[in-house]
Amino acid sequence: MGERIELVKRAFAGEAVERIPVMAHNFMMAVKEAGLTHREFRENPDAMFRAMTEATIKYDLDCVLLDVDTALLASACGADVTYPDDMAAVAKSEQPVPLDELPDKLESVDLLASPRIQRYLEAARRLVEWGEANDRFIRINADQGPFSLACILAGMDEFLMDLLDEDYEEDINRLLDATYKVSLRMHELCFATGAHMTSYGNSSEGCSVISPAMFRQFAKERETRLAADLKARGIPFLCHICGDVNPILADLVETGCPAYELDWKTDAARVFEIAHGKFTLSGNVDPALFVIGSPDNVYAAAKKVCDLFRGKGGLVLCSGCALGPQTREENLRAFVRAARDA
Amino acid sequence: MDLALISERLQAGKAKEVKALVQQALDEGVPALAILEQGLMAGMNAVGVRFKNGEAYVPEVLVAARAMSKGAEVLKPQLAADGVKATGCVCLGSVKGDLHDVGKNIVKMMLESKGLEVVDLGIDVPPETFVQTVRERHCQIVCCSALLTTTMGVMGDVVKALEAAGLRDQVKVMIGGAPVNEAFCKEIGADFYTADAARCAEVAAAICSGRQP
Repeated sequence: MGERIELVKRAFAGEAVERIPVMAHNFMMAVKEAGLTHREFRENPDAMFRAMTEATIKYDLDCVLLDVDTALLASACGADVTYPDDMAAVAKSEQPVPLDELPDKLESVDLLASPRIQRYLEAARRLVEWGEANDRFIRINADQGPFSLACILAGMDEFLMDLLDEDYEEDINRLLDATYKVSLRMHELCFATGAHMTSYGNSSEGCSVISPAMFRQFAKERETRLAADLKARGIPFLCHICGDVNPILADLVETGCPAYELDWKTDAARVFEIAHGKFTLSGNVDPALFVIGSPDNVYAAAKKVCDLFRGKGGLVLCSGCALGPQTREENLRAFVRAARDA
Repeated sequence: MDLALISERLQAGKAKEVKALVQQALDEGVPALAILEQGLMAGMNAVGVRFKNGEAYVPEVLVAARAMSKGAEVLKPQLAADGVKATGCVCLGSVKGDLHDVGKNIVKMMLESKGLEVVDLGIDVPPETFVQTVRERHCQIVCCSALLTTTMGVMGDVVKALEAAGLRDQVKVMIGGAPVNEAFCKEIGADFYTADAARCAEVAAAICSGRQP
């Protein structure tokens, strides 16, 4: 196994490593720099492979994170999704299937029947081969986690309001159990490509959207169960939650999830204080800074995070959320340099 | 009727009750403007403050907003008959490429709770639609929302389009959403960044009443 791959694995395992690895959540920037449209990227495994490998080499990244949009599972589950040429695909906020009908509908979903997922997994397999030959850690994102997928499929506004109505509690729990199965299956498929790690986004369960009490009522138990099930299958993984999770950091420690990808709205110092030795942080420099800041700004922000963890382990330096296509090349280079200097 | 009851039920998100209470108040002869200000707007303002302080979250705001909307439906004909006019006009939309509307919808309700007329352009709104709306509706404020780092750049395109159309001096451009901040606001030449819906409504109300935000 290559040195970089070993380094990243050890870092995600929480070990104090000789240098802090760096990963970029950079598919949108990679698409732009490869001269592709998002349509070309998401519809062609060759394009996904080329964009991600070129960016990984260009910026000397330790990891490849494959991600195409936030609607991969939703589209496979029959959601209403738009596919712009020049933007990542997005599920619409209003969805056609009522909450109470969704669980039964999801029972018959075959993820491998989805052309989008077929293409995605093909790109993943090629990246895994490339990663082995070029000593790069490969993380394949398994799209949305159970809570965020439920939000998308039921329509965000309606679902969030239904959370407050006890008349819908049973339907909501049935839906979350159904999306749980879909999410678990997607992790299995992604890991079967040979990836070193899978991940999932569950940002709707964060405190920028729902209360800590609601997280505990609807999301935490499934996050805990997912962690146990993935561990039982031998699948290394992380959970991405952008937005503020400061009020639920202690809860996140209790889920058993080995790594969380958090963005700048969560205080890295508090993460270190509460979660160091319990989960690894993938984060957390503001993606907006990569657009509007100078290289010195980005370097300083990245260094600040690295300084908290240097010599103690528990960090993979990352933006914590997707870098925009307007991200400046010199800023991503400064970000990588900060990790190398740490 | 004690209009505080309307405010309280609105804060609890009880849309049917709010609708009935507003009708009852009208039937009892309470002026529509008083119901709007002391019932609906007071309730939504309270929710906005709790949201701003981290004591309420998106679901609580959404149900309160739905209750306000139901109450306002009952009230609108009487407000029109009484000649009550909005204190300003704001056009609002999630910028082109952004299909997220939860945050935008919360902002809309907060703006309306300040007595402002809101032209909701919806989601995926191109810069030229903002321009056209400002021209046709004489809006004092353009509010741009974006949830994604992918789409935040379009906010700058809106500012440029307003400049190109010769309308920039007539409107204030406000921006908000998860990926943006004060520095980005300055960079693109917008006028105000606000971190949450309640603050957005406060600033918009101040602009429309000629006060310093």
